[in-house]
Amino acid sequence: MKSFVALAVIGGVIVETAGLGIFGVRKIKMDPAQFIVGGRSLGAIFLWLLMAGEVYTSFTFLGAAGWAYSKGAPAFYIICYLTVACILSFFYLPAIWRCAHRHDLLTNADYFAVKYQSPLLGALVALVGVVFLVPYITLQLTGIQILLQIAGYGRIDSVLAAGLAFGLIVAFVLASGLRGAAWASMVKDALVLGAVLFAGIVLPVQFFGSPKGVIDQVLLVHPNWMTLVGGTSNFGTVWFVSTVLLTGLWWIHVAAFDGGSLRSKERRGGQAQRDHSSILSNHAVARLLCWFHGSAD
Amino acid sequence: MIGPEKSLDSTIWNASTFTIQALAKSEGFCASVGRLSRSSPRIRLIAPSFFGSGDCPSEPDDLAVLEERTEQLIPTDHKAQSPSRGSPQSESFLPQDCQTIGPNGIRRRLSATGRYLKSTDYIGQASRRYRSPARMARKLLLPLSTNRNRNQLYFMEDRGETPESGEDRSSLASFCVAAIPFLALTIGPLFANRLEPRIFGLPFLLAYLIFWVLATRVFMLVASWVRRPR
Repeated sequence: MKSFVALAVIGGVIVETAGLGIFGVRKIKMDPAQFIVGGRSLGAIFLWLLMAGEVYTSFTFLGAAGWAYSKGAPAFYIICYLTVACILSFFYLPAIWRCAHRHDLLTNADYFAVKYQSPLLGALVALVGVVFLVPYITLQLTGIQILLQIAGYGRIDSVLAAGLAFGLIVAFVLASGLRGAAWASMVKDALVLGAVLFAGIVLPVQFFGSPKGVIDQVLLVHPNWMTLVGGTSNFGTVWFVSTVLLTGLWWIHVAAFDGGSLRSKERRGGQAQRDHSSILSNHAVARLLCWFHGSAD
Repeated sequence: MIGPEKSLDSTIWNASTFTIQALAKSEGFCASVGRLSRSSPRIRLIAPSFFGSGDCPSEPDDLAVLEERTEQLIPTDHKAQSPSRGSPQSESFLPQDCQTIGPNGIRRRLSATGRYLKSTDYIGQASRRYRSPARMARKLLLPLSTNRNRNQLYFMEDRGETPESGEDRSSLASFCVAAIPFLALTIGPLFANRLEPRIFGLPFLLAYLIFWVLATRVFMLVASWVRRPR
């Protein structure tokens, strides 16, 4: 009975999310530009929602909380790199958007092929993108696997669950394109934000009295858990700085390419892209709560 | 005939247009003043009025000649897209004292005269100020087929603008504003890596990072406001 209720809730959310996505694009005539970049007409708020879908993944709940639980202070990098990426994309994004708009580019590979006048480079970028997306998708599917296993109280075959989830995702994306994903993000992100608030605020307050209580308890058990070890040690300060920089630079591709440059609408002087960069950092605040969630565990 | 006020814009526009078409498939380019020449794979820019030089042809009729001559440098597949005006003439119309200079030379001359070139982008907003016609031509490579009014080049002083009224200054200001949280989040942890003093019960390092994550939003809003066109 318990598993039925849990699975019914998950099923309901999936149906509602997919339904909203397909409903949102019912009157839109699909062409490659609409399908891949939403007709290049998404505003800052819609993009923010879309980016929330890319920020709040399985990593947010499992990876971030897991790092906070197992490593302590090094997990702080999770709240920093997204903010750093926002700052960098503030300057980078309008330039990419202008190029994408002029050349009518649809993908990252298009951009590199045109920018450097090299179809070969474009093909290489596409290949690298696909290859390196595989582990990322695997991570997400692993998260779904874990979720369904827990919801099914161990009665659901994990391989079947992952296969089913993958099939559903592919079918949804093929049916609705990027705009459908953005609409679906509205439901999904509202639920995710609710869950993050619950896990990051309610759980610490319920079990430790306050977030301060969590910190006190952590310091009682691990006195050095809240600071980085010095110098070049593993997970030391140098590691922290370099990881924030590297991950922030990596995240530009999401913020600049996937998030804003190719999809955002035309506004004077790249203002839409700058707005998008400015409000993107808000997601980092929600990620902070995941750190508390992990520490509370 | 085009009027005196539009003359400069149109002159530069036309020169740039054909240069851009010529550049479309070239590997690189340099700019020249008043002299038509080609050094493969470079195709040189005809820009007689970039400096308002009296020695160089600047009237529309001369321009037509220049355009026609420039067309000859355009590859065959580009000729089909090029409008044709005027009749072909020999190179003898070019004054002998017009010298050929590259982008750096143009940049130097612009700097020496204190003149600033500015382009309007394809959405009609003055977006960048260029001292270098080379850079300017690169920026204008694509919007050839769009509205002509959206791609204008002009000397800033002709429209009562000063370099200070351009965007470069605000770009620098927004860059400086954004650099503050960037450095605070990347370099700052090296110095904020301690437990005490605790702020609202949080260890100092965590409180420091939370502060800067929240403050980044404010800094980016300020940076965005600084860059906003007025």
